[in-house]
Amino acid sequence: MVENVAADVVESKPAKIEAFGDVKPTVNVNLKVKIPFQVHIGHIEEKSTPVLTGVGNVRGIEVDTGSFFITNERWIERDDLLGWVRRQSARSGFTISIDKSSLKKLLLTMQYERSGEYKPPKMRTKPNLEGMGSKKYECSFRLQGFFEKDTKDWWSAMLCGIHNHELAPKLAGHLLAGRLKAEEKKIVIDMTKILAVPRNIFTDLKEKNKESVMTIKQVYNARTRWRKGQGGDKTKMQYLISKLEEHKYVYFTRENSEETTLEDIFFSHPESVNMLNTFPTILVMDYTYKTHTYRMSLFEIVGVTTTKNDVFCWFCLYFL
Amino acid sequence: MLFGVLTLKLNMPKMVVTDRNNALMNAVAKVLPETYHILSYFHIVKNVKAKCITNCRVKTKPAGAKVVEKEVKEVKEEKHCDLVKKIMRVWKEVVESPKEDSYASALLKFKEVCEPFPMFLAYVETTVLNTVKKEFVRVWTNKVLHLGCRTTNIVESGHGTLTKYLRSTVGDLTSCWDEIDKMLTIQLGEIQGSFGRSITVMEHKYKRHKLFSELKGYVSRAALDFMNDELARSRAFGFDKEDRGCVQKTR
Repeated sequence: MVENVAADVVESKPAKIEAFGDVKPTVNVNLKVKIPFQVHIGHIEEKSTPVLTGVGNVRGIEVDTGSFFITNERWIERDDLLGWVRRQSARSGFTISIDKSSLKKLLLTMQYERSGEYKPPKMRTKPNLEGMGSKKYECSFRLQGFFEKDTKDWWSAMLCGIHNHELAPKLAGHLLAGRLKAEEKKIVIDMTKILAVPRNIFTDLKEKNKESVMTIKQVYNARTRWRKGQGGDKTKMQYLISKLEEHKYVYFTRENSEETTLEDIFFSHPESVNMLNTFPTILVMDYTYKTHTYRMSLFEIVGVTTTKNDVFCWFCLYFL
Repeated sequence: MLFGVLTLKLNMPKMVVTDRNNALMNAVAKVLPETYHILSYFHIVKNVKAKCITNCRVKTKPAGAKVVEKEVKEVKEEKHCDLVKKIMRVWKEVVESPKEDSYASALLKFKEVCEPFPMFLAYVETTVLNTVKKEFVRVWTNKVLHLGCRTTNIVESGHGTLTKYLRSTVGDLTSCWDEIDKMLTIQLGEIQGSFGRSITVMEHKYKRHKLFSELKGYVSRAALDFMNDELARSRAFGFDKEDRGCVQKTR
């Protein structure tokens, strides 16, 4: 698995630490770059050894993915670095999350999604943890990104490339792997507005990004979240009235005697009031039902304009 | 369900078309007392037909033998639908009669046809003819400026479009309003477009015509079409209004 991955833009180097001697002649970079490269090899020698003896051997499994992350590449933006790291980790079969990051020092520590230990919640009484499990693996994988102030770019350093568990052959369904990106969410919402069904949205997103491992459930979730978030804190009625006011509709409402329930609501488009004043000759009225859940009828008043075939709905009134 | 907002408008509507719904009729009478109120004749014809189908049965002769019963039944059904058709034809004549004398003759004919069914005749007379005949029969509606609007089918088609926009019947008020707003915006755009076309575009056939070319920009295209039709008609038949059943109107 490790060998057949080196296909990214960035060349990945063999993971062996002895490779240090071989790397030097092959890499054609100027001196400025070489120095930090040596530094990060040094990091591995320093930090990886104690970790390996510590947790890594508890489970008895060792998977080395270090070769995916050794590179001379420099990134101008922090997100570029993160993107590359995520792509590489997806190739090797795990997902990466940010452990610590600091904007002052411009430092970034990345870890396996399930690294670390389970921390019980802070409560006054001791929580009963009997029969509880945690998804944390105590995995020792660590990767660090640094910002070089002289050259104003980011570079990465491998702290420990060794996992203490098997890697998943496919990432679909993993927590972080299939998440929709911000622009993908926007696409989902836009397409929902034009009444595209989730299956079509899903195939469209898959076509745009062939590597993505999202599932159709995530599209459904994004739609629902958007729909629920629309009204904000307002109730349905408040939301409706705010919308009416926003669009400058002429409206009035009537409640029942206790002022608790809506009895009827009347609204009309501001333009249609103008139209009524222009063409007041004929009004046609009728009402219909079964337009929504609340068993209110919809009463419509329609007028006729001089251009004959245009028929125009002027007023709408809902009543119980 | 009265709506006081309408009275705020300065220009009172001249005519209102509704279907035969008592609540709506009362409301219109109360809010717009000076407005002429027309009932959708389509709905009335529909009601009468429904009543006709249930009430007017062909009187059956007592069936003689059991063997022949089936044949008798078939004949009876056929006769029944024929009868309904016949009655409805006469009834339509009554509704569509353009003049008072023709209306009277059509009514007589209708009564003659319906003589064997006193229940049906009584229903028609009490509910329709005696109370609201002035509001749907052509004799009287033609005296009002109705611009060809004698049914509520405009608003019915509006409902149809709206249901298409709504897609489902279980949305809440806000989603309903969203769709209505969409529909209104589209309709408004269309109407503005038609006004613009009427002002700027002129059909070729009217361009050479002196009468019409002067009207460009003042009269809508639909109106021009109407005028063209009327002109053609008057040329074909002269100005003899008796022959054509035209009712002259001055306003």
